[in-house]
Amino acid sequence: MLRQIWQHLRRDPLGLTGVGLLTFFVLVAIFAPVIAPYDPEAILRLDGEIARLHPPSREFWFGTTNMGRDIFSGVVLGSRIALKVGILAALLVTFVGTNVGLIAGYYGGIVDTLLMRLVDLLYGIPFIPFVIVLVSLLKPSVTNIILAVSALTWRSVARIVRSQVLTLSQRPFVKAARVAGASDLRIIYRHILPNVLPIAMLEMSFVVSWAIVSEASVSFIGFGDPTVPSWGKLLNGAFVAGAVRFAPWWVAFPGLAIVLLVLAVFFITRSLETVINPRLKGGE
Amino acid sequence: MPLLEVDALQVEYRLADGTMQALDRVSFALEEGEAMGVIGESGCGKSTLMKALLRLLPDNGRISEGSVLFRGRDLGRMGDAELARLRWNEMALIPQSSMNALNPVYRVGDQIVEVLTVKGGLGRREAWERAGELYRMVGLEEKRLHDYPHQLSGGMRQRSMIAMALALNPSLVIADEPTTALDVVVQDRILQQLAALQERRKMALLFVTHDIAVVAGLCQRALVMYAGQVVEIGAIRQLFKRPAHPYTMGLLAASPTVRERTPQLIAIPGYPPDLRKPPAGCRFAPRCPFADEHCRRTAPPTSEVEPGHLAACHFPVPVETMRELSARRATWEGGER
Amino acid sequence: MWRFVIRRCGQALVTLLLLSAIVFFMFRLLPADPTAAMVDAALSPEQIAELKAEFGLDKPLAVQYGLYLKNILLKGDFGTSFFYKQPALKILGDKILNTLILSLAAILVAYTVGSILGALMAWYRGSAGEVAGIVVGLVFRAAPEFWVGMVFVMLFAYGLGWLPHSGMREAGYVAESLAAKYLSLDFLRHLILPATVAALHMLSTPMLLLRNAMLEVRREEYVELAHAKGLPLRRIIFRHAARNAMLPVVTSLATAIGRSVGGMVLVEYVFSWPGLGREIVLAATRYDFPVAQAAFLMIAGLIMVMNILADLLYGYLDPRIVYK
Repeated sequence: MLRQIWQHLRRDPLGLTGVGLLTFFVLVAIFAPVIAPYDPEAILRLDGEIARLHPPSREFWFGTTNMGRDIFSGVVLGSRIALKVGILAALLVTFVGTNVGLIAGYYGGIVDTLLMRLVDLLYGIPFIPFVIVLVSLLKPSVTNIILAVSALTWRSVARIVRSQVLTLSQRPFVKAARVAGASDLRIIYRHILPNVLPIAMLEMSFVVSWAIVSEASVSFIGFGDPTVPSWGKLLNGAFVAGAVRFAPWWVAFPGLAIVLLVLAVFFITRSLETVINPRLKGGE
Repeated sequence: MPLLEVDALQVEYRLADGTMQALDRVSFALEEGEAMGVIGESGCGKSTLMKALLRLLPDNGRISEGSVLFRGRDLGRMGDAELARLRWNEMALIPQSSMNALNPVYRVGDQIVEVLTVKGGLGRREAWERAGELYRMVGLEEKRLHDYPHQLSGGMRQRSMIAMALALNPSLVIADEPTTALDVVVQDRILQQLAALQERRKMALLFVTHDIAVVAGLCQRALVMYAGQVVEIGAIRQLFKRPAHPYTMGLLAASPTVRERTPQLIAIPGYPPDLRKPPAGCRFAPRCPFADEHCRRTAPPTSEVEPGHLAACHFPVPVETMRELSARRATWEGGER
Repeated sequence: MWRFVIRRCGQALVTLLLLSAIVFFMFRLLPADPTAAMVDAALSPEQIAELKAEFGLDKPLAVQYGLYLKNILLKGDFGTSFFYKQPALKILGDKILNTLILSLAAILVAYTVGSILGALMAWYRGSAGEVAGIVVGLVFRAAPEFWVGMVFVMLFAYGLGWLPHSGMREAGYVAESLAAKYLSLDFLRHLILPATVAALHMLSTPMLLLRNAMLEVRREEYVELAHAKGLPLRRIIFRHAARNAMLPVVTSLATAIGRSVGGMVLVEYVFSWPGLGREIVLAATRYDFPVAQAAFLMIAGLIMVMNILADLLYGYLDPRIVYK
């Protein structure tokens, strides 16, 4: 199936753009310390004076903040946390959501009802307010942000996986496995899971973009990890300093980074969707 | 002047792997007030023909050659506005599936009234009154106008479709297998209704069906289609008593209600050809019990077997012999080939 | 149908109850003094003792929760704000309306404009306009609302000077009545930017949904029949095709409402729009827990009400739905 995905991606210009962009960001994140010319927290001087609010120039490609910090370095290093939160949160969410969906869908009955009531409850919780409240109660750290974002997001994966499991449970191969004496766990993880994986993966790529924006939002409001450079934190600085009035570069570049990375994930997700969904709609 | 004149119409569909010729040199004429049947099995092109007449071919279909004249005016050259004026006012459609052809979110009455107000220029109150009249005409209670499509039975829906088609007194009604989805009893009633209405209003009717028996009571003339071509055309009596094409003969022999002197019910074996690569000669030849090499190699000409009765056949065997043999099951099971 | 409404309201209440429990216990997750959730450390020892008694802060958690609920349901007392030194409910009361208006305005714009664009995009498939629409929709979905907000402020408020950069109305405004407060040009001018920013973010969902649904509906027989009737094209697109294709869009409206009221937080913050969202951010920043708790519950409640209304709307639009 991976080959199918690749085949399709090759012919989809948007999908390819997405893959290209994503790869670019990943490389930037990996080589960030090498690429970034300065320490993003360092207060820089030019000709003896603190380099406050310099527009983009040869020394400071994306300009500087009101404290004399290099924005380009901030953006480059910020890619790390964006990708880290995006991927880790997505993995956590997919792991939890898929398992809950598998168990609920397979066992049915009271287990299903309880789990799905829980999911329904979670759907009633507004996302950003919850994340804000949670992060404000805990110490602002990367781990806590990942946890806060994941705490609610798994609800959608669980629902989707569960409905897929319900369809699959009726299929002959599951009944055959039962007759052959396979244990429940074996059926779930060796027979059902592989069939559920594609749609779980699809949902996961939705979660990645969601997590990236959530991290940026939380950091923007000021609840981000203060020790880690982040695009949201940069924009927080810009907002608080009133940069909208006099330093458009401070606002533009970190924001554009977010947009491009999320777009990349969107394009890839759309491509995946055309491969994965029709297959599932039409049955196997 | 005939009401409708179709001249050597060719329609093709653009598919992923090439073009498919759905209609090949289809020609016929329909007079005012005349009821004509269009008979053929699934895939023969009859629906395509109807769509072409109404200029409702899907995006990948087009009329590649030929013309359709309505009262002498070439539909292909008409502007959009004129065509829109013609639609429903002069040419109306009773589609095959009434469940799917009625918009599920509006009441049936609304849909009839819409036609009357938007195209008929009536005011709302008049339109509703007229809709009530139309309903009474097709044997439905007026209060049913306020129902949604899913609340009506199949027969009722089909009658609504008839009422809607007649709303603006069109001169031509195209009925595309309107009774296929209904049970026999309801089918009968609807056909009777249709016949009565057609006669009373003197409107022309093109009745499409795969069941040759159905046209007997309803139409004066009929044409038989196979694989995108017209293989035979003539008056009902001519077709039924003296069929001149093996396919028509096969259809008659296969129809339980039509056979008079044929004691055995037959089925025409085989399938229609793939129209992406139509055969060079007669398209029916692969399934025809009488076909010879000449048939397979050369397309048959259309000849007039008697006044007003045309058939496209080489007649490798005299037509009377064909008629006789086609009544026997052994003929169709490969006995004569 | 009324049975349906009552049942849904009942469900909503149960959910709110559960949510209040979650919020309540969440605030007690504080590593520091668990009483800090209700008691401002800066108060005098007597006041603290008083509050402790009122909220039963020395009793077991379950009892505390019971008291908390009782206070809310019977007295409307959500606690006193540490920051404002006033009852939380008083502070938040009029903010609810502000958030609701902003939220509804954004959804209205997003769903009407998005639907029209989606319908046109489907009908003029393959055109440059369609591609442009998809790209624009996706770009605004990818861009974080707070950033778009900042950019728009840069462009339209400071750059072009057309619209105000923040707030709900000009400072120093004296309102005579509720109507005058909200039905003024000044208010409208302040509403435009935040509502547009929020709407742009949401736009792609109804746009793409309707486009996809329309592409399918176009092939339906009743649309074909509408063509056969010679009805004007605009009528066919909107009254026949779109009306049916809209149904999945309305379903998405329900989820959209949920997302938007909660998501309004960032837009409100950037534009200093005095709503629940902004208040919850400020409260969290100030560690003003009573207000944060109350705002959270109000947001959740608002979402539920709007969800029920959306369900009713769906039932009205699709006559095939039978309410059980």
